[in-house]
Amino acid sequence: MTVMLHLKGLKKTYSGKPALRGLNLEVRENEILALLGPTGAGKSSTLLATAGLVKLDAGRVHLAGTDVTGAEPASRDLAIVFEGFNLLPVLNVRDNIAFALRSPAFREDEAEIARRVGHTAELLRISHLLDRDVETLSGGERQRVAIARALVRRPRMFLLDEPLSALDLKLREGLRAELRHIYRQQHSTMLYATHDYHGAIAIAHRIAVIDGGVIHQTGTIDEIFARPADMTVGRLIGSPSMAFLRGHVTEGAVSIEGSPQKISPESFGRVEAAGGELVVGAWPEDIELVSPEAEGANAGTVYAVDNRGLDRAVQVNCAAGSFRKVIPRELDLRQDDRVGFRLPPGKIFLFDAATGRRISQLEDGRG
Amino acid sequence: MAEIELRKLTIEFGAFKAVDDVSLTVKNGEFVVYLGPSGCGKTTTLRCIAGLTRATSGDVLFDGQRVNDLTASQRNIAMVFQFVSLYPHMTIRENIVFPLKARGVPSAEITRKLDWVTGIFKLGDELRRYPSALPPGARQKVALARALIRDPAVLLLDEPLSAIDEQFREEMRWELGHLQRQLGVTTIYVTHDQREAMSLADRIVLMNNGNIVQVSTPNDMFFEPVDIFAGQFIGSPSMNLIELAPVVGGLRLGTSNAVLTPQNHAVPEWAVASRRPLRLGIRPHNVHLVDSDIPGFDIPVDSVFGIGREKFFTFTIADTICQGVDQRSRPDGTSGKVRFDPAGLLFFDAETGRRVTGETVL
Repeated sequence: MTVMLHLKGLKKTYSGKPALRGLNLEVRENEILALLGPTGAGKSSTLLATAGLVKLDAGRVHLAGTDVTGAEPASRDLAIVFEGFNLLPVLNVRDNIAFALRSPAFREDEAEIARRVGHTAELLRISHLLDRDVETLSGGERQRVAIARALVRRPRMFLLDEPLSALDLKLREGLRAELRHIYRQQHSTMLYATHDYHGAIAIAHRIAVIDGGVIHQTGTIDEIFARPADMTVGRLIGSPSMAFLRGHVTEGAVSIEGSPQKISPESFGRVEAAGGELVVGAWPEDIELVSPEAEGANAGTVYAVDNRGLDRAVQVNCAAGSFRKVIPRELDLRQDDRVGFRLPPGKIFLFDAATGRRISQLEDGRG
Repeated sequence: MAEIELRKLTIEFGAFKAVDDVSLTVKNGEFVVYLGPSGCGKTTTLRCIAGLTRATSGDVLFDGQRVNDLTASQRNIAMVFQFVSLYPHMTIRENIVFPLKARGVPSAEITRKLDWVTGIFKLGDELRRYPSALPPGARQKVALARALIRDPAVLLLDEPLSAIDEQFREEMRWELGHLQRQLGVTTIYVTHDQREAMSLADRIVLMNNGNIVQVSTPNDMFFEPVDIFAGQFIGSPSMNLIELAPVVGGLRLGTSNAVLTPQNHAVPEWAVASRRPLRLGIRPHNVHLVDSDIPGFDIPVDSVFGIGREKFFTFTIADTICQGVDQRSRPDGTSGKVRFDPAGLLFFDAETGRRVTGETVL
């Protein structure tokens, strides 16, 4: 397994506002790595730094084993697809795609250009658009042309920034489908920035969770579910995301606030002492909803119901906080209904509220 | 609070019919969501209810009273738009109480009402700040508080969440759903986002080209779409749509070798006997990739990918990329068989796009 991109300790501050604070990241050859984080997490800065389009305050960028930190953007042989598409409005689709192949640095002969453009257009199903002006294209078509323009060069790696706005939902789903399609054909290495959990897991082999200019955890989705590094990861992963409930230790057992359920400390594996308040974290899928009268159940109230089509999600409020969980359609819960719930020992985690770090299950090997 | 009725409402802009003969009753306290692509007439309808656009013909009634000739301010409606319009030179508190001040409501009453909305919207610290100091989502919350402080007969919301950051949008959706049910205010909400409509609505009004396509609960909209448009507009990932070719004793999927029959998929006899060409609609969650030793179709699988703890797969039938859910015990590679859940089969008339069921055929 070769490392294609290695970012080491990247730091970047924009007029006093830190965007990257010592970011480390490895992207393996032939993998799609999703960079998942909220707006302002440092995703775009990471892509720009990789491409050489911003000057770093500190840190090194290695591409295929070579330090390219000071190298010109053009020499890095990366393809960037950003929101906004940056197509050239004066050229038709064919010339837009061919543009990079005609640049002085990568000049190809016209017969080869025609062959490559034709092949790429076929791959992206835009052959019928080659003679159109880019202004006459729909959003989805423009996106495909932008990808074709990046793809035609066979770059070492793709850097992609997912469209942000809700209006572009179909466009986003389309982009993911295109990328999967391209990946199947070419096994290109891709770094894919997204703020959307669904976007990340829909296409990526591994996910790097980014927030506050650093990477919090990198792993496959199963690895992250099994061992979330900290509360930030829990908040950004899952749909709904991880439930966090205020907890404490009494009489040698862990409980959540206002709850009768006592959870034996052994079920948490090796535990480190918390520096601050204790937070109990559970993936919503693992929380068991029961009747409010059930033996030892924690008491909660349905705050709101979210209909999702095939199923529904509920927000349950309780003394220790609140959580959201998908329930089957047959379970007819309504706003203000009382419910009981149980946290399954062995599947829940302890976090230190002060640092956000996970402090339970510190050994390897737990499923 | 009020019941809103639209009676044969038509709104024309020159030769263009934005809304074409629409009738609908919104019950007291109901949460109705107008859903559709841009240009379908949903916002025009909302503006007509608000009194901002005149009906070309037909009536708008509030609790049985015709309000066509009342101005927006006479209708006792509250409206919140996509882009928040707060007064930038006023504090949040001043913004919220402005509608009451403007009507000369006594100050004791204003204080009481302000306490009420502040409690509901959990706006303690923000009251003394200015709009520019709040993130867009919080500003929209203030706009809602200002709309609700004067007990409107109906709350009209035009894409109130679409300009908000995605993370905050989901939070606001939960809050809005909770609040509407807590307050019981009649609410009409316009959006192009099917996810919001499904989540919030008691009933969805699906519009296209100035006409109502379907009015139903979110569940019926999802499981009983009236046509291909409704089937594909609702749900994500989108409903698969596959051409069917009649063969002896069954219906073949596109040009593949897979034939749906009454025996293997409980296909109704009327569908097999249908003389009109049919198309199959089936949601990805009703198409499964199963282990090779389980009965199913040998359709080549293009790719398998995860969404959450679910694994999806894609396959191609007659140039159409279809999606389904991977249910194999060992989900690696692309070997397996494709199974269609008989309960999820929806048949559409290939020419009109209308849903066809046993009853409509007879």
